[in-house]
Amino acid sequence: MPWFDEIDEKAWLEALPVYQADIVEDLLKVKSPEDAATAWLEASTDNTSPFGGQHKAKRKYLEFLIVEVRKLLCGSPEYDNERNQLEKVAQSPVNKTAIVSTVSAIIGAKVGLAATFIAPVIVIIFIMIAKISLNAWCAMTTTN
Amino acid sequence: MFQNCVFSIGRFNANIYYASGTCTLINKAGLMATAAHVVDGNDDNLWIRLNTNDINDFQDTTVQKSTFLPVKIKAIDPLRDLCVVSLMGQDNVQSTVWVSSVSNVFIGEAVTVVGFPHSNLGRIVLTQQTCEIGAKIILGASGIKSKHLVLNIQARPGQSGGPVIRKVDGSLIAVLIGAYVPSTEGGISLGGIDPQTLHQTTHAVSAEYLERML
Repeated sequence: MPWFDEIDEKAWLEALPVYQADIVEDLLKVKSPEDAATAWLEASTDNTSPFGGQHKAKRKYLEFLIVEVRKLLCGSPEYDNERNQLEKVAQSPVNKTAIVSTVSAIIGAKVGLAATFIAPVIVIIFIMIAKISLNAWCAMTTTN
Repeated sequence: MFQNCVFSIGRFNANIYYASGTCTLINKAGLMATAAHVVDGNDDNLWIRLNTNDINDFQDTTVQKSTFLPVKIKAIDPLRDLCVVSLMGQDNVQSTVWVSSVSNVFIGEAVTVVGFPHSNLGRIVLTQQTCEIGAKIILGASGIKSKHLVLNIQARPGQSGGPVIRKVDGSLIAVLIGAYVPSTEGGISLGGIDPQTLHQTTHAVSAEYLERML
């Protein structure tokens, strides 16, 4: 996926709708990428007990999402078909929005979350990857 | 008017409908506003339940049969606890409820709150309440600040995502999200109820943040 490293880390934010990009940008000013992603996934308003009707157990999605993104981008046979789909979407000119939407839909279907909800987390993971290059991230997470 | 624009939203499990909150059809084709925590980031098996009775008539709680329509998440902001869902295959329906803000409302002003209190327990009754705005406050979520109302009313589970309507113009000024609770460790639950939520301090987030999500 040579196209991945052609995209600057900050440019991935442009793949999000403005209302999400602004929040992610604000979170990243004061938090590490990991903490920003967790803040999005596990958000709760201060001093407020939500009145949704069904109580939900706290889940740790970030690690799960990183594992699945790694499988998709780093060559796991489990995602061969989806990777081919992604390569077609990423044909030049590289369309960041289409890439993020496609990856969010693929991973979202896998983990049971809406693509719109996890798109900001996918972007944050892409920003983490872009800091060191995709090959280095794949090698590093494989080692880990 | 509310029976045509305020609906229970939830999921099916083993053919039984479990309500998770309230949503409001707004004046944009097929779009509804609710709270983000109501959908929990997931739109699989997400439905709205159509109201079968006139809110001004007796709502028959013995009738078990209802009509449901599927919805999907169009936009979601968990830091402000807001979500826009779209009605699948229903692009031609909308209401007259328009999205406004809490910025210009007055302390002590009367507002209408509509929703389905106790619907988490299976009691799905469209309920209209009137209360006053007790305060306008800024609340944070992981450092992201947002405008909220403190409503002088006790809300219950099932009302999350419900509209706060300004009585003078009928606009949607806020979305109900929950009750004030203090930041303390080691709370308790009695019969599934957190005693710290049993008071007349309900929080609602300004609807102005919905504008950018539509």
